[in-house]
Amino acid sequence: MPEHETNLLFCLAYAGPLGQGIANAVGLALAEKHLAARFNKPDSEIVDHYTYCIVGDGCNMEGILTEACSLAGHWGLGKLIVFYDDNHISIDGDTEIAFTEDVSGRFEALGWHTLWVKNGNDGYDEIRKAIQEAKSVTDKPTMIKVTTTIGFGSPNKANSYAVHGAALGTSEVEATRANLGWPYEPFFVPEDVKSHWSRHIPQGAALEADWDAKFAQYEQKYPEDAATLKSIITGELPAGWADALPQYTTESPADATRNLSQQCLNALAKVVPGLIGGSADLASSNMTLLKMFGDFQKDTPEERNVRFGVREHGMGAICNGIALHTPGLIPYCATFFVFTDYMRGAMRISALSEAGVIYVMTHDSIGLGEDGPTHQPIEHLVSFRAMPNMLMFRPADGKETAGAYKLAVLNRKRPSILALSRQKLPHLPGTSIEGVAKGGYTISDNSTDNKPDYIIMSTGSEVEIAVKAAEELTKEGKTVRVVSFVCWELFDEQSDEYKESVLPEAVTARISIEAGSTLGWQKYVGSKGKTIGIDKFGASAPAPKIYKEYGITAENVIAAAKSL
Amino acid sequence: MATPTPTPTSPASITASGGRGGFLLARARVAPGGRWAVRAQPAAAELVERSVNTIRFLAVDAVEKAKSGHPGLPMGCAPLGHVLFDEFLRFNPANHAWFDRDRFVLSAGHGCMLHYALLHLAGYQGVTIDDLKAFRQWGSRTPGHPENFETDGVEVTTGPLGQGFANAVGLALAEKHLAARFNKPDLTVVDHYTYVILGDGCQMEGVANEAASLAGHWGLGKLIAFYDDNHISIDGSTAIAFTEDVLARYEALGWHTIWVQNGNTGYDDIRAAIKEAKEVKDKPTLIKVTTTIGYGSPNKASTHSVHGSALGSKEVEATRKNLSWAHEPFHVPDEVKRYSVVPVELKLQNFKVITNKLFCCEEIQTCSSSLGSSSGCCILHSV
Repeated sequence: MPEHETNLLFCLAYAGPLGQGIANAVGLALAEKHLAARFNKPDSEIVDHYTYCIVGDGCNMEGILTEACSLAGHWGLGKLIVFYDDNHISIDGDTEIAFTEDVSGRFEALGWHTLWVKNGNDGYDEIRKAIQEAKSVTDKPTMIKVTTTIGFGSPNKANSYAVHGAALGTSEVEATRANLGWPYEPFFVPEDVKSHWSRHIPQGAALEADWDAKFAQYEQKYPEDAATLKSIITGELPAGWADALPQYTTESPADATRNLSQQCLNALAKVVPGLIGGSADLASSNMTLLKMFGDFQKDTPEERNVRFGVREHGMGAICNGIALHTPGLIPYCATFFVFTDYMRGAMRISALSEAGVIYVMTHDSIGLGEDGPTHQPIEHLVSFRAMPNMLMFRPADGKETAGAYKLAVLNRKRPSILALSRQKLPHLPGTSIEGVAKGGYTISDNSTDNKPDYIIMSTGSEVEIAVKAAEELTKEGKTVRVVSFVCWELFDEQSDEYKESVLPEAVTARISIEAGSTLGWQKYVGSKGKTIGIDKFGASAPAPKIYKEYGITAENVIAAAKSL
Repeated sequence: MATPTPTPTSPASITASGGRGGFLLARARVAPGGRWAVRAQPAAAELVERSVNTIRFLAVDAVEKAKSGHPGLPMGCAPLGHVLFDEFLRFNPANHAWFDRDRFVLSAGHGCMLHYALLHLAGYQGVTIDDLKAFRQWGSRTPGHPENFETDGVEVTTGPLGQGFANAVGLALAEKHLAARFNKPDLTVVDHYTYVILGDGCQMEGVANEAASLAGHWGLGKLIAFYDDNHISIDGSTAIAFTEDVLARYEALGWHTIWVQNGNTGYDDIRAAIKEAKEVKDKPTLIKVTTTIGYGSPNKASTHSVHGSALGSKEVEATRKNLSWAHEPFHVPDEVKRYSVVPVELKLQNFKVITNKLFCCEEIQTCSSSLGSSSGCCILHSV
């Protein structure tokens, strides 16, 4: 019987969409390597576990797998062991139909060690040997191709796609029982099997007890590290951590929210021990480098800037793995907001699996200018507002960016997206960190009876336009309330009283303005109001020109208000 | 620009009327079967170099004027772009939608000034010098990333990395499918190649691996991909995050692979690679072309800063000095203009009768033209 000192970690995320799980596994292995580098001591290996993953042909066809495995090879994740269930069948039939590449050759090109278990059906010693060998290769991840028969044992359906995703049916179940000499009734676990497996209960308890004792010693010898590691393990944030966030005022220098985001990330990095992340080759544009740390690389895994390369989908799913590895690991990842299209699958799994990944998405609208329509988000904000369990933040200035980060860090079971500007924005009077927690809140209002003439609502880079329009209307003697709708999900969770205080039912003259799809705004603007936005693709031109040509202007807000 | 008089109206010959600037004219010859084809002989090395620098500086100047854009790839891939467009690609600048044209995709779409410069030199009316000057401006036909609905000669919209490469697999699939359906033993009506340039970014994207796996499985032998191997992406050296063996991965996916180690000045290497790629009929080919991003810029070449920002006036000047390019912005030297493929003005009555199709093929034929053999020549064959 093989010895094992190590713990097994199974995939914790929702698998299902193929390729996600293996990318999660890369994230889990990254987390282990990182924590081991940070906390292990010469006399105490307190972090020491393997990550195992089973992938099939389907996973292997998905692009996300190559993205994640290229990184795993680059990072030398030696404690990641992947089993490739080589059964030559996918839903549409034999893999001959669409999948004839040299998989092991591809993995070797990606820097992996590869093995082949030719008889995965009953070659038990082969399997054992392969795992042993994989574990002994410490500088590369290992892919073990295991050739199996899908549906092994079913006399008529084994090795066909029919057995992939449909119940066998009663007669085939019977035939399989006969074929494998299994006379038992359904759900029966033979005594000897039960008894054999039952040793894992005391064994597992002993494993953990041993580790607890080890940790107690570690705590004695290295109290500071132990406290930090403990907080990462439990997820308990250090007291007063949010106070580290920068304090902005209207006097603070105007800046793009992507830059303010970097300030927030760097402030948090000092106090949040589990903050780790990076960008898909856009660190210098997303502004996501943690200046006090170096790059997480094969030989420097204790560092916290992760370089994902142009691999958005792999990045998102790897972050899911990091988030689900340990409650106190708080991963963030970044790219241009439009390239959420490249990683939406992973983001949805973040939301579904309750993985609190922080998605830092810059260049969030036509405001990015000349790169043009392929890069300018339009439908993205509303698409994420529609996604369950996803917080979609679009902060207008420094205070709101800090507020968004505070909530993103606090929400460990809900992922957050921060949509951030490329262009410089002013710090606005009336914005606040507390307001962000309400999702939508009043930032200026010269009415006295909760019955302003107009309510202008906006998010992010267009809030300053709303404010300008409000100033003009105020000069003409109107009462105007400006609402910043930084996060719709949080607003929708507020009490009815609060919502009424921001959007009184009696006031129907409402205008929204946002440099994105108007879809969804109707729910706050109402049928008697007016939405101003962009419902077509953008354009390649300097940003101010696009704003003007597309009507995202204070003049238009004023005209809309007067038309109501 | 003067229109040459169409003296002989028979399709058998069109005489060059020499000497007037801006035209390449040719003596026509009818090949067996009455087919017309333009055959390009590579220009003399000096002219090639000048053409390549023209491409480089059109890109540099356009990005500089817009104060926005990506000069690095155009500067580094100008040699490849020149050889491909000038010596191999079959197309009709007067009819960007000619069915049997070769397809070209710039998957690294941010480098679109390379494509626009080539389209301009090749004589596409949709990319005039004013269009180049309006790069990245409101209403221009030269947007910041290629848009097929905006610019004639652009096949697909690219920008998001990896998409263009996968589009190219689809274009090649279409050719192979239509060729199988409609070609006859005695008549080939579908016969064109698909070329695509992709960079490190595209290679990292999962979609490219998916498409490449299928291209290999389908044996798309007329798909030729150029991998701009310049070791740089936005965040710096590819050593930071991209250290896989790309050629080995493509071989595992069933591709033929070639490595042009000197993509900066190895013109014959590039030519030989394309020839070899075209000879491999049962597999797509990936040609890794090692280049220097921002080639020619003395202080910014080979850095990530030349990837996506204008050089700045000082560096533009330094680059001009470095490459001995004394011309003002957007200047296309006459001898380069003259060498370009037959321009639109040759859409003459005679040609309309024949079909107006002009295209280049790679076979080399000598001919004497009144322009002198040093500038190369084209021979027109009808289709």
